Amino acid sequence: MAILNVDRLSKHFGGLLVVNDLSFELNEGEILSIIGPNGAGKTTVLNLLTGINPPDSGDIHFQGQSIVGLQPHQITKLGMARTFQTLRLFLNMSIIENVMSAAYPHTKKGLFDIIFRTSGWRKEEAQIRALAQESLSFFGERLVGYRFDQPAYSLSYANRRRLEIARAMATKPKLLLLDEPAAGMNPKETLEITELIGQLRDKGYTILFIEHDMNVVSGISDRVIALDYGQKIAEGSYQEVVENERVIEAYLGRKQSVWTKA
Amino acid sequence: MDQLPQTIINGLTLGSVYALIALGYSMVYGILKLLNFAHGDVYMIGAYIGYAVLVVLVPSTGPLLPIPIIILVMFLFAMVGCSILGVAIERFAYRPLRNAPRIAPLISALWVSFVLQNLIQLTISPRPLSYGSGTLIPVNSGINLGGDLRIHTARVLVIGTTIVMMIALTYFIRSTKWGRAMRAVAMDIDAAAMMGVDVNRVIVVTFIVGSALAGVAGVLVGIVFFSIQHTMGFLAGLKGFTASVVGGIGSIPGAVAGGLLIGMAEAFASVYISVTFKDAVAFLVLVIVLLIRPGGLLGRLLVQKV
Amino acid sequence: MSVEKNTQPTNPESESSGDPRTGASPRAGDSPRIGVDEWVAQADERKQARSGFWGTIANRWETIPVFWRIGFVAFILILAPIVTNTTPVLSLLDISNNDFMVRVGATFLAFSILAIGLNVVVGYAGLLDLGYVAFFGLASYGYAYLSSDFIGAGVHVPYFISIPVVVAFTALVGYLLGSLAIRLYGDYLAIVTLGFGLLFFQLAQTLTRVRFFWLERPVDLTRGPNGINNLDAIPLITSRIEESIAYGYIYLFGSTFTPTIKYYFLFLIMLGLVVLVVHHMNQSRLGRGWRAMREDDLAAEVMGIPVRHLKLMAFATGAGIAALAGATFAAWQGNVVPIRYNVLALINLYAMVVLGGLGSLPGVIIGAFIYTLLPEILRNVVYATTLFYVGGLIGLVAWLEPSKRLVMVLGGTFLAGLLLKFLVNLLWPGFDTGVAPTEGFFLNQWAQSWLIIPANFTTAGNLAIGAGIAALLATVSIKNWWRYVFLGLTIYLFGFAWETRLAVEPSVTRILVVGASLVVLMITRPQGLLGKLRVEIL
Repeated sequence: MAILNVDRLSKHFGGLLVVNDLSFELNEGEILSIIGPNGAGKTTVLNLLTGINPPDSGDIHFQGQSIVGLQPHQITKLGMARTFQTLRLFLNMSIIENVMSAAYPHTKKGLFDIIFRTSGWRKEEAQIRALAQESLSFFGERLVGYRFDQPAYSLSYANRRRLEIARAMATKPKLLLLDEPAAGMNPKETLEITELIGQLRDKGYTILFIEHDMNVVSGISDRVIALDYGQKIAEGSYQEVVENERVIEAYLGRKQSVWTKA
Repeated sequence: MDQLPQTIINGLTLGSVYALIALGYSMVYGILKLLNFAHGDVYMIGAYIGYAVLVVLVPSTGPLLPIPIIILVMFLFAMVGCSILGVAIERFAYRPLRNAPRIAPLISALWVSFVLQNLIQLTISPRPLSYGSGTLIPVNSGINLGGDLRIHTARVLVIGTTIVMMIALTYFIRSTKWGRAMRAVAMDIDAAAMMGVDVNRVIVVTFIVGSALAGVAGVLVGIVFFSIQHTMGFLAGLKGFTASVVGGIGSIPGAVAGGLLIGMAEAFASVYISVTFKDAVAFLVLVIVLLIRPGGLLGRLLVQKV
Repeated sequence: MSVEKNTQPTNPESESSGDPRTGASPRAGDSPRIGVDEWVAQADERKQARSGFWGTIANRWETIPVFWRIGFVAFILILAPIVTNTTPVLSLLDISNNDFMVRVGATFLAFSILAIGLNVVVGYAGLLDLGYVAFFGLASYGYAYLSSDFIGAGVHVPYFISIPVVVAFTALVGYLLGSLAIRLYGDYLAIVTLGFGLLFFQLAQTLTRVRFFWLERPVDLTRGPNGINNLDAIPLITSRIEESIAYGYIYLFGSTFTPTIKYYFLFLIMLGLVVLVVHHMNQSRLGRGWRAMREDDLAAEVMGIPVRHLKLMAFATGAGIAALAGATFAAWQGNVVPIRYNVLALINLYAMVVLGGLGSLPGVIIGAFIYTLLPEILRNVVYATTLFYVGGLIGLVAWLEPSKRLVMVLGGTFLAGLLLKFLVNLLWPGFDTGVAPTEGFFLNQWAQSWLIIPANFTTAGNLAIGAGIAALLATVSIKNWWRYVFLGLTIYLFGFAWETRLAVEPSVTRILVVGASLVVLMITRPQGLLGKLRVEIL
């Protein structure tokens, strides 16, 4: 069943056409990756999906419902979460607070309960904290224990990336959008990320990620879409896309296949 | 309706003064991203410096020099004095706080403004001082524009001086080394520093230019409206600041446009609505413009890159 | 679900280091180990850890459980008005009016409430609202309309209706203002809110002849700069419980306490409630949402936090708190004057919040304490002079550091001054009267005997102020040894200015000192007393 349906999406910024008539589908439980040279419009696609920028034309259906025009926090509440290419953590908050703050969309207790600290409020707070701890423990030992109360800025780069994913998980999404999750990572960490994405799928998330590192893309994607100048130029399995002439030309400009299956 | 031409002239005059003040705000904000609330009081001090020169050069026996020379001397002293003051303010109230939270320089600026006002009140006089209504420019002199309409020489002076200053400033920004450096620092202060621009010097130059313009504005106001007081900086500064925001803060043509807009609005409001509200008009314009175009008329709102 | 085992190769140091799973810390006394996770992670805390006299006190303070800490502070605050009203304390502080200290105390409490409200908007939510005082003023005027004889023959709505109504109304205004300003970021928000604050002040002063088209004559809405008088006080006088129940009076401690003390306790109770409510709000998903929003409002929005809604909540809450303080303050003072809500008041309020530390609840209360007490202290010439000279000395020591340079500058200036005085008295006898208007105490007299004080000290003093600033500018701008000469000159000029002009005009001096101290503080400790250093990536 298609959890995400993108139909003829287009977006201008000023005079520049950044996303051009893009259509694709994403099925539940799938891992789809979007590749393309820099400037191809990949992050913009994510921004359009999450409601940060409104599309000029086209439609987006998430779980059967059109989400164009909704505010980002409403879309997140419906079940779509994302991470950012340039990390956007809440640096001055502690690690567990980062994750707990993202639990907001599914919390209910209002001002009265907050001010008077009713038992309903206490229960919900405990639930939020448990959810945060669960999200963080997904990453092994790195972000747990004494780490909970450390400020986020004390984390190493790789751990920051993990925290961003943990934070996104706290919004209880059905669809996870990851923007270059392996950026700036060494080969060992890249391998971990690739396995991680697989584990996320096993947990029940549908995943769409943008990547440049072909090791990750080939390692875990079910399907790949290639973009260039905002247009979809190829779609299919990794092997199919990678050997597509237009894709090769977009990346390299030569008729020679450099990428082999990892 | 018969008041319309005169109102327009008044609007232009006021607008010119506000534009001069607004320029200082815009330039400093463009470079430091700082709202220099003390700027209005620099303008006020310019007016007082002009007054001091006036008192020396025009004793009761009559002017010691030809009037145009006296006016030029007043401008000169005001420009120099205000530049020094501006540099001092930057050095003591803003530079040490560059790494402090954004609020710190704002509060510091508000405080400097208060100190200046109170110092003048304390050391010179809390009561208004007068440039003398006929001393510098005879009351009857003016340019006839046909029919009943005449523009008083003083207003011509204001508008003319402002135009000259605009041209000089534009040339400075476009064509000189310092101007280029200022534009570079305004766009990206770190990159400019790494390209070898002495950022501190550029900031000082910016303050010098902005404060000099404010000083000239102060003298002009004294010449046209005769009466100066230690509180004049507050309101005028606020309106000049409003003007720079309305025009798009950081934008030099915007400052001029905003100044003219506010000046016109105030002139028209005081004639056609009520004098009481003329001060409130500036803020109303500010609020309305910012709601419609959050970046100001000619400014660009910083776009966040995600 | 099961916790995943660490996939890294076993870290040889992990045996001796702290165990992340159990959170045990490295053994005390171990030498620094590079790369050991937990020790590294806590490096920041160690750097910021406090040492020295104040540090030790602060550390001991933190070991006391929160409940007892609050209890201790509350205990002091409750006893304070009673203790400070006794004769020995009053004579020690050289105050004749025995209501004075309590009045200062009540003002401090009221401003604490205001500061907390501002802290919610600026400290928690990160919204730079420069028009905040307007809410304070709006509520005061609202109370004046409802509970006085201002409207017609007098609408005397009892306080327990008028105050909540005013609070609700002001919160609504805060909400509306917020929804207008919501699209604006950072500086633009500051500008528009400042505009509103100034607009309010202007209107309060000028709306004395407003024409409503259905009325014949213009209406005076605000009574201009003089404000509205004769506001109903909150009845706190009665000492009998039956009356309190029957008439809704507040029964407080019998009639041996002056009204001022009763207002003090009223404010104290309000402060306690506000602190509790705000604290609860902050430690919930609301507070987390605010903090996330403050850090990065785009990321917060994408994480499902309704940023717009939370911004409005912050505005409304801040406005409501300001209104509570405002209405009660107006009732206490019995009048409403526009000058209470001008830019200076705003600066003072921000100073309290910044000094105490943005985002720290106890911090802003301390900030309010200092900024309510400081101007009062500075009224007294003796204290002010002490502060001036001692502060200047500390500044010099901090800048030059105890060294030969410092001794040379101080000694040199002193000798130069004496030499100058000698020369002047030799060549122009009678020029130096040696007497300045400041009476003060021994420090003043010493300074005056050292300085040359001409007969027309007023003009000379004025000039000295300007010259002193110029000399200071020269001191910091010149890089070679001449700067110390200018430093000596600056010292002389400022001392001269102080004795002849500044000490005599306490109002100006207060603003100067308060502002200067604030600037210095923000340079040396930008996070305020109790705030936390924030990492900001622009």
